[in-house]
Amino acid sequence: MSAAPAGDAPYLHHASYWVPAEQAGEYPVRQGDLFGGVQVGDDRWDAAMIVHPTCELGKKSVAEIQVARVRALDDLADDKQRRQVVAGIAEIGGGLRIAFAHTFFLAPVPGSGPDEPMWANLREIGSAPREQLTAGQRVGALTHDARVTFIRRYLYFRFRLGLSFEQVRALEAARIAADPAFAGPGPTWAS
Amino acid sequence: MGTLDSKPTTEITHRTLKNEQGRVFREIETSGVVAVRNRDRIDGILMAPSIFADLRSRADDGVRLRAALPLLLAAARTGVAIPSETFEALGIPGREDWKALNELLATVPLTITHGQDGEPLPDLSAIELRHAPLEELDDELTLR
Repeated sequence: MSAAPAGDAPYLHHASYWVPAEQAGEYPVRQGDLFGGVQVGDDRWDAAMIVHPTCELGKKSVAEIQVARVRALDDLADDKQRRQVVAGIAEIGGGLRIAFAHTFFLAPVPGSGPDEPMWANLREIGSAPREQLTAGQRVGALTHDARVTFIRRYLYFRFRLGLSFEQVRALEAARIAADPAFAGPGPTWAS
Repeated sequence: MGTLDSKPTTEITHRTLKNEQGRVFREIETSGVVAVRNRDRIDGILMAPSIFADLRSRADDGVRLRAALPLLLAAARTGVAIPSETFEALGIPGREDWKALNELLATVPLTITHGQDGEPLPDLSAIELRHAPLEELDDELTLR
């Protein structure tokens, strides 16, 4: 089953974020996957999400993997900001604006860790030794559909490119179809 | 000047427009909007630039509001707190519920109109995007 937002919303329904735990073993570690207790330099982050390009993760020469710090929604000081991070947008003057572009909202991973929503801070990037970021240590494997929303959000944050979900998904489908090293179950839209 | 009000629109004739341009522009400056009459019908409207800008801005407001309306209506219907300046200004309360907010946004056909800094988002839908498979060298750099 594939998921897409009904309109232009940045995020999917919370039930479409994570590969079910019983299937996650079939999926290699990829960009967007979530890990708990990650050592980044001298700091220990409660959680982190891989932002490193997926195609680099298999290279033995890549010893350090780039991750974004993940924080609990409750770490934010007020309701207004929490709402904007959950939505990724805000209504201002009758228009809908992107809000806090450097954030990527993360739904809780069912059955894994605390049942609380989170957000990745795309401004807070660090490198972690690859030994910490294995499939066995993974808390959540992001679905292919949710990865499309991540790429879309990242494109806007990094390059201010406002592509639609469908455009990013079409690009990702073409990329997957042309990738001989793609492993694990693929999305239905890339077949 | 700058916004439309309930003042009656000044009318001039074709002959006045043709022969008394100085007067016409003074009239536009004074009244904002001048109608050009030809016998029993209005042939055209002349307006001050500020009035035109105001009309344009109102039209833009309408388009923006149409984009946000589905979300505002859905939020009002469900009582979920959404990130909305309009609801805040009107004092419309809502219950804080991240899950309900996420579900609302995933199911309402909304359109994002502006970027983070308020810049109108360019319409990229007409751009044909194509993924071009490329060969990539797998070499690694060696530092001295």
